[in-house]
Amino acid sequence: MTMDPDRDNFEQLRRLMALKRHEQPPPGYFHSFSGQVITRIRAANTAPNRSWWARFVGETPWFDRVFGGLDMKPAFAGAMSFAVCGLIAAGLFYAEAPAVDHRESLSAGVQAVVGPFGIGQPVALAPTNDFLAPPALKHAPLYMEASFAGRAPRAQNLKFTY
Amino acid sequence: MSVSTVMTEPGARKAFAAPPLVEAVAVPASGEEEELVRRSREGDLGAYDELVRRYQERIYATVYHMTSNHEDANDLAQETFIKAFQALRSFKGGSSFYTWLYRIAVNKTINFLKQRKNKNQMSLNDLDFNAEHDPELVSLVSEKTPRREAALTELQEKLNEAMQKLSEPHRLVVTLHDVQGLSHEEIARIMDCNIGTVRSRLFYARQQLQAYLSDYVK
Repeated sequence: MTMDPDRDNFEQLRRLMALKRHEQPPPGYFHSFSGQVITRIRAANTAPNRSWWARFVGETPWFDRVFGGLDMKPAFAGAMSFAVCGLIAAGLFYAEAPAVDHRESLSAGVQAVVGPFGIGQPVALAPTNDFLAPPALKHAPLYMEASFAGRAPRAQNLKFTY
Repeated sequence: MSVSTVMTEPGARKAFAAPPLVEAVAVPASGEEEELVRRSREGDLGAYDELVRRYQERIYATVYHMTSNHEDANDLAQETFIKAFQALRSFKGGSSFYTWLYRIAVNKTINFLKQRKNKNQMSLNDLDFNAEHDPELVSLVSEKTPRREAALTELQEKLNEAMQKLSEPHRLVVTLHDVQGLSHEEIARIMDCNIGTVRSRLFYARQQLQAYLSDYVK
């Protein structure tokens, strides 16, 4: 049997399919059809409460040209939605990365040190880590860094005797 | 020339003795039609009314044979014309207006069928008077029962049930070719695929239908 549908023996089936052509809508159906379509178009164009989307599309022909064909090109519509999803995912990914604000870091560092002992008390101030370090302290003398010997530095209450 | 080709080529002949539901012959874009499209694009609803009248039967028939439901076909056909009017500005004339219109109708219908929950809900149109007097159709049912009208109605239901068992692309090819009489080339343009795909889908769809309707087709 060949794959050419016109040469294969479907004669009886084709005669049977002819019955479909005798299925007719109610009499007079097509007399009013175009009128109904035009009425609906007119109603959509003149409705005072058209949705903002319908107004936007109606007033921006370029937008309609670009996106109006989506109904006829499902593959293009799928690619568009995939691209939009990708953009949203990328946006979320980059939004989660912390942004370093040195002013906030500086004030946080100072509060962390000053808070427990009260303002005015002498403290030994050293950065607890690089992230909290005020810019000036990042360049502390080498002996300070050496004295911590790899341990996490912290503030201590000191007493001075005169 | 193939038996089932119904096109505008000289000497073309129709495959079926039954009168076609619509004159489903490809209409080349005429200057008059281009003018109607241009005026419609500028918002002339009178011109668009003329275009709707030209194609309403073909679009309705395509959707009806795909859905086997008059109410759904009515809604989808109207929505097709409304959508086409709204999208006219994007129509560049790369294809003929009616091919473009068919694409909208076909895509709307396929999307609708994918979302339709009750797949077996049929609301069939009545058979016209000529069906009872079509000798080829009568020969298919006359041996079954003397009640010709009832037999034809039963056959109509079986035929629609069989059509609904086909996948949407296969049903579409059968509808456009065997019911509406479009050529393979036109169907390929409407479905945005090549002619070989149309032929193979038609072959497979007919095989399936033949199996479903084995009581009537020997």
